[in-house]
Amino acid sequence: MILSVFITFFLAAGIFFFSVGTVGLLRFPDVYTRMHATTKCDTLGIGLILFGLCLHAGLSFETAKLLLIVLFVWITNPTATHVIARATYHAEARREGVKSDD
Amino acid sequence: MIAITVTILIISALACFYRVIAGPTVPDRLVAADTIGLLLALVMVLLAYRYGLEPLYDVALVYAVLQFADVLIVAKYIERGELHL
Repeated sequence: MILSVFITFFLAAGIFFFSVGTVGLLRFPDVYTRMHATTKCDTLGIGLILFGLCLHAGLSFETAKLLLIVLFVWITNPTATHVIARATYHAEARREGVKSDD
Repeated sequence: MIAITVTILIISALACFYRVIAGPTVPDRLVAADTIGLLLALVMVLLAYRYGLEPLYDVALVYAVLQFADVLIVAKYIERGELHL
């Protein structure tokens, strides 16, 4: 009973973060602000939804795979966003003929 | 509850696809495509859990790896204007 309440809470929080991130992706005016919105939604949303599934699965082989997916996404997703932001910054600096800072 | 989650995730993936089509610049489209890839990997995991399909977990993991490589290569192309692999 208590466990199902926790699972529902985690899934609902993950859905909330994904919806907020999508609204931010649609409504924000700039590439950097859109990136800010989607990164939070990806990291927190995937973490919360997969932790909810881990609670539902209990201690099993599936839980290990779910935690592996969460760990991988938590490492790679900020890296990918950082690479996109750096590429955008350098491309804009090159297009405007300014020497970039780093 | 898992069915509701999958439905809302697919609706937000469609909303992100609008940004892929209408995004003014290339990095906008790349950010939106990144988000869509993660959403679809998450939908795969949820369906694998719901229907007890064990191999689909590995498919979702490999999908996340390939999508990370995809984003890295396209970002390098945006940064340099050409690919030096």
